[in-house]
Amino acid sequence: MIEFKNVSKIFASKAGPLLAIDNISLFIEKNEIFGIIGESGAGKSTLLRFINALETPSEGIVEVNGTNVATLNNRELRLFKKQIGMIFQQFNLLGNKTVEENILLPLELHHYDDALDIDQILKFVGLEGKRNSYPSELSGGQKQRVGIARGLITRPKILLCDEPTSALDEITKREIVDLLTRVSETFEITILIVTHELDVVKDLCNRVAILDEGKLVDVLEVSREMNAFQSDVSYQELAREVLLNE
Amino acid sequence: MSDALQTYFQRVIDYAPSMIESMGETGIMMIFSTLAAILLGLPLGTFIFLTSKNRPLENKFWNQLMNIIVNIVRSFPFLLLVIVMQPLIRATYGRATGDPIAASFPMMVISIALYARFVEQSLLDLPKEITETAQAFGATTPQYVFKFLFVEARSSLIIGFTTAFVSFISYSTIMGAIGGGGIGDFAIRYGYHRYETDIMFTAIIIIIIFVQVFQWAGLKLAQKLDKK
Repeated sequence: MIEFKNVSKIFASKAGPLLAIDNISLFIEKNEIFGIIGESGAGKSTLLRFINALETPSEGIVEVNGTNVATLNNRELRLFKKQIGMIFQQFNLLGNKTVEENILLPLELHHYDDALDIDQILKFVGLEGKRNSYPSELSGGQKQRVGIARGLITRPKILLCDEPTSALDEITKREIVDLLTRVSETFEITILIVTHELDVVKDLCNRVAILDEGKLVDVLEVSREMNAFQSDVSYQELAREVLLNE
Repeated sequence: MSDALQTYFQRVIDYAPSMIESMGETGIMMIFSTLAAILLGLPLGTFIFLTSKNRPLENKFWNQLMNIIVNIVRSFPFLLLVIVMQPLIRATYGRATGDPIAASFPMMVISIALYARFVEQSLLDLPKEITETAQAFGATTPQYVFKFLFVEARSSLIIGFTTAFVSFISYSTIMGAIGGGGIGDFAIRYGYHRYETDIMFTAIIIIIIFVQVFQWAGLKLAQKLDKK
């Protein structure tokens, strides 16, 4: 589905060239939920951004469904991006558009034959009552739900998630993890998640790649034994659990 | 006291027709300036933004060329710009002085440059996430401009225009000095040449009230459109 073949990325910085991605090869299966973890500066966001050409590798090949992303011209690239949804750490909603307008924005950019219905997606992310609200009236968790709805409205084959829970508190983070789990169960979709939060990948992913200073250190199968969390646990209960047990 | 007031009002009534005529001339200059700012200044400012580093139309040559032109126009002392432009205005319009349409040419040039800078600044103030989002969704450059940039920058574009518009009024009074008519010409004729300061101050107060109302309306509109 998605394959990185010996990709490297060199950024020019004031201190000289910086090797952000160092010769990484990786294959991600169709409909997998794949995590990319590592500390800040490990290169995980850069790796994710190769997939929808927000970054281009200095060396190596990135293939999505057999297409070498680097060979596409501007027009082909725009069409290629139709099949990829993306959600962001800072949600990246347009502040002057309502929830509904934000979600429908991708449909204004391209024609989609089988886009989801706005009512359907609002219900799916639990924002039926917020259709006409503006982002400034929403909580962080609600904003990310809008981001996810906007990422899904086009029925993408791939959903890229760049630190989707890093700006959220513990409870909200779990709600978003729960929602992304439902996304993967409901839609035929490959999900890639970049995060530094281990519990998020533990709860969500099938496999996880660990990056350190641009190098691929390991790819792990996630153990599923103890990942069940209760999304209805209250903040107090969660606090008690975390504070007393550790 | 009431006699003085009565005399003043009588004078204002006497001068009203020529004051209204002058305001009409200023109005013509303002309309041309506004049209130039919106129809040419807005695209020019957007073009400068789009051709800057790491933007979709990145192009060092065009970016620097347009920047230099805008800077030259903005740093040109306005009265000298008017004089320098006279041969050009005469060649295109037939006459360079004596009517508000001729006077509108240099006004339009300064309006375009001034508002282009405000537009560029408004767009630069937008968070980079907006650009990132448009790119991730595969937006074309026109879609990026109209569905992302202008949507998010609309309030600051309006506030920038309000500020520019107030400067246009100031520039328009200079046109009076070289026979362009308008309220500046009126003030020079009565306040400067004839020492009829009461009439001049009346004109000034009217301009101040107009500016206040315009600023207030611009700000209100910007606030109404700002949902952020």
